[in-house]
Amino acid sequence: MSQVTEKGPKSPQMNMTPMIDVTFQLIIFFMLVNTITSTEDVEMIVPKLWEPEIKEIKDVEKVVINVKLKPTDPDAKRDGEEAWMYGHTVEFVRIGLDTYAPEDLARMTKDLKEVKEGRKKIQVILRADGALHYGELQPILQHITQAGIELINIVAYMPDGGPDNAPHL
Amino acid sequence: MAEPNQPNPTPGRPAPGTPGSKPSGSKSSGSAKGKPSSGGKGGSMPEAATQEQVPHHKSARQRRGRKKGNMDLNLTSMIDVTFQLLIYFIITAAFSAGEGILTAKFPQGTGQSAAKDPPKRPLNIRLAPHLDENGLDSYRLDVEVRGTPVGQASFEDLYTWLRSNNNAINSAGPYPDDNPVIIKPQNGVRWTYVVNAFNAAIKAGYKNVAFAQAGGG
Repeated sequence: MSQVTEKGPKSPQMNMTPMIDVTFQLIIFFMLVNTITSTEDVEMIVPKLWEPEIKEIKDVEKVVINVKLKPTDPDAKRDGEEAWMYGHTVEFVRIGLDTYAPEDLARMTKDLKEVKEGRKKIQVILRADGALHYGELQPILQHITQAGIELINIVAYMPDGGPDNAPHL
Repeated sequence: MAEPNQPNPTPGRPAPGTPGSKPSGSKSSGSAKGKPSSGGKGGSMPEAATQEQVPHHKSARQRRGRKKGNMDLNLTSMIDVTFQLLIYFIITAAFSAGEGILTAKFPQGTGQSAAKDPPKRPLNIRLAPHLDENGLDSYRLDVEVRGTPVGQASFEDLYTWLRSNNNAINSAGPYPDDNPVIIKPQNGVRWTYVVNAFNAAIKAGYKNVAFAQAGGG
């Protein structure tokens, strides 16, 4: 039976239901995979390894120590070989919401001690930029050690996970 | 008489009470007496048709002139909001490359948790900064065996050397797998190379790998 009203034939309408279904599926997908950018994540290029023997970062109680590289030129695009020309000194250390300047590491040691107190199973993760010079990083390692931390987990790229422009080895 | 401001609900059809229409109360008496208008014994088709054409009662909705049809939910606003959300999540989605961890010990003698027993025959992996043929930062790598440096061209070579000297893997190897391996980078060596040397030692099966303090250079 044709839908004919007294005013004439009914205007055609698109069936929106499948589109809404797909859209909601996409929203749910992106909500699940989306890593909400937290203050713990500092943008950097972590070391890329030759045949790495690394483990996945498990979802355990952890404290992430981010060591950010200080760029020699803040506007320089860091890709390819320029990655090495970008700098080699430390700009800051960030643990959670706290940021420490390189000359303020004593405060970092004090805070790390407080974090570690009563939480023996807490994992300490060092997330440092691969371009940093070891001499720049070592004072930070010393201060972490002084907080009573014996073992540390060093962050590196997972196999096939690193960017194509990662530093040559 | 119809009220002057009442619209005609059905165009082309006289409104009830207007001239040309039958009096609305003409058929109500039949219904009031309990006689069915159709389906009953006394009912006739022409009579029923007449009753359908001119209903004695119309709801307020019908009088207002609403046309018949399916009730549709207006989805436009929801679709707008949904697309806004979708665009937001697409833009903010961070498909960052996966990261993993290597468990390591800290430099010796730098804090209260430093290693207690100095190793007797440690394998020292020395790393020095170096510029390659393109003028780019690179590294120079060697393993110090009893004071004599054994040069390694790459981390792969380092891994091969360490593995062939690991007694737990190669019975002819002089070093047990718990032999201390100490990575000794100089100041100007990039962190990537330091971690690579550490990775090579772990991969070669050594269990006691540590970092030393940075040396000059």
